[in-house]
Amino acid sequence: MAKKVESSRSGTVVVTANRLRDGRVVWYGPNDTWVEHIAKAAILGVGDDEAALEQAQTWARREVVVDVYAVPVDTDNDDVVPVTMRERVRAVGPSVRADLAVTYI
Amino acid sequence: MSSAVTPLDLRDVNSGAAVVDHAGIYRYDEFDRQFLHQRVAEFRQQAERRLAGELTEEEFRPLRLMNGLYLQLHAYMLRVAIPYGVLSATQLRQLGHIARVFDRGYGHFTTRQNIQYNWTKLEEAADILEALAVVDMHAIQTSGNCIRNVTTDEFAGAAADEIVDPRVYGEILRQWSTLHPEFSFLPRKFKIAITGSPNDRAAIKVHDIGIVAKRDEAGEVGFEVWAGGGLGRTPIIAIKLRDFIPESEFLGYMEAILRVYNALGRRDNIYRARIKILAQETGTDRFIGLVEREYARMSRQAYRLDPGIVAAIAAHFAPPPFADSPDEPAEFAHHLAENTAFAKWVGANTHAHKQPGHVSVVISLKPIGGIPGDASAAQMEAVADLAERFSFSEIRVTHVQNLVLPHVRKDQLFTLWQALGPIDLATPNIGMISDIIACPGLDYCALANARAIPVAQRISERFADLERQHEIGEIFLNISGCINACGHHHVGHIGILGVDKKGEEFYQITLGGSATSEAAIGQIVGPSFSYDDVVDAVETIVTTYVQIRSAGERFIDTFKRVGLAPFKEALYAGH
Repeated sequence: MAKKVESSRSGTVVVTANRLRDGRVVWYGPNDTWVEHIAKAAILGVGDDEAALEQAQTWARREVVVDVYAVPVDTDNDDVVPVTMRERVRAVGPSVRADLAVTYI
Repeated sequence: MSSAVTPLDLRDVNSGAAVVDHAGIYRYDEFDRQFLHQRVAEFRQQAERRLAGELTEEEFRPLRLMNGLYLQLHAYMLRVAIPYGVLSATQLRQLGHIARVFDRGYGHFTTRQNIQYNWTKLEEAADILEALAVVDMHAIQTSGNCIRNVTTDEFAGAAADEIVDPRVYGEILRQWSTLHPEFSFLPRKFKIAITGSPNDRAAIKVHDIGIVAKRDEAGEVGFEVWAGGGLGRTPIIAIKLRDFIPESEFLGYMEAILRVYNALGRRDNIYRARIKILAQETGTDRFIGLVEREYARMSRQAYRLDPGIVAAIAAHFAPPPFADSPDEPAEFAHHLAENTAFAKWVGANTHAHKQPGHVSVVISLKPIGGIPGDASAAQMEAVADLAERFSFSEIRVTHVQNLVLPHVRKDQLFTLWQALGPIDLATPNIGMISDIIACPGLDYCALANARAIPVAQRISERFADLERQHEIGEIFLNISGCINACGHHHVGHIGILGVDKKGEEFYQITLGGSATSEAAIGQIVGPSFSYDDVVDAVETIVTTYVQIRSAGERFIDTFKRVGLAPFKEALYAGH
């Protein structure tokens, strides 16, 4: 089920979920794909976020991902930074285990 | 993937040799084992149907939760039950094996004396459950609105001050509550703790039911029964229901409490659904009256706890074959006198044993700057080896997130201490400010509002000087990342609660909490502190205590004497 979309400074969001088979955090990427690093996520502006969220939800109905929702982000240069600490932790891994950080491939 | 361990009835995982068949661990019978394997097969089929898209998430969620499988921030999390915190060496070695093969090389011991794996894959979850079943373990009733894992004193069966061994009745409660058809869908989860010592080390007064096993003047076993305690968003100290319920009536009385709760507990509001709310809203006298009335109409005979059953279960917990050993062996005294680091560790990390010449050893899972409660696969395997060498293959998990070797000969303590050091398990800080309880917090938990672990690490590093910690003395510091209070912050001498303020982490501090026989809920000291400032605030509290304490006075006693005022003044003066 989609969660309420809060706004960031720029009003941009990315769409996230957990992958069904292993629970891993994934992000909705370009071309209707799911990617493992937030830097590869599709950045959605006001107006195109609802359509993207709806498209992403179809993957939940196909039992590939669970818990699809939009995450407000700020974008500075190439960095995509979620507004909330919760989503920042989800994006990079536990802050206390740098050795387990999500790597950008 | 299947487990590297084949069914072997508690044989040594590495050598295949039979583990010494000492008492102290309850052994499953064939019925139990058959049930567990059937349950794993059932879950395997459910998971396969989910992965194939034959079950929706809505349909599958209650099925996975019934097997301890949560979906957290980064992955699925599997919570494994450790009944009353007791493990055999074989079981701990298998937990390490699971961490190594199925997870990311570590596990997290919790305040419920369980272990959690943070990186479980749904497609491997049934394999993990199968590996657990091989060593008589499972994850049943570690989630859901049922009776959860019964917790107890980590020194059960060993403590010098123990009156009754609570493991016996913990096991009886486990057998009674497991898959109890009437209590599988309670209004909310239900937690029971039992101690057999007058010095409560199981935090019984902040549980849904708290039990003190004791003896009457004739030496007969009975139970002081408390109910309606709990932490969370509404922390409440339990109400005493009975001073002494005879052993034969033990389960009947438990059944009566659960029946009243099951019938009258609220199901319309998750935040008002625990038995503590029922007891408060009903009123103490009326609540007790409801339990007594229910109990009075129940058949005494139908619920009578047969002494033969008690004796049979107690036989599993008979003392291990202790060697005769002088209470103060010369070798032990020599090392104490010659090695101050060893003496400091003995002073902080051992507990008096009922058997002369023995102690219980607390293995700190709180190295300076470490993650409270985390243990690597290698550490788990090493502790399993040490338990076999030094403690009759027994290990305990404490609700303070440490491990215990319950039965260690004093003349072997020095050798054990030397073995613990190289694997970072000899920090002499039990009961001190770096022996911090911390929930997983926002680093792992989907419910959390703020991180708990890095706050614990920074406090630990701030007080890294162990000499200073020993000078400060006993302080229990507990941290929760949200109001659900898994980190028991309400009952910490210093409690820290993480809160979210407009997306930023802030930390509210309470003082004066206690989880002992004199249980108390901490008092909020004032406005919360930022992530950057909270460690300085703790330092200010400790410095203030050291300045105003009387000679030999513990933090909690100073707080009782002076109250919040001097701490509040020190923290907020000039603000």
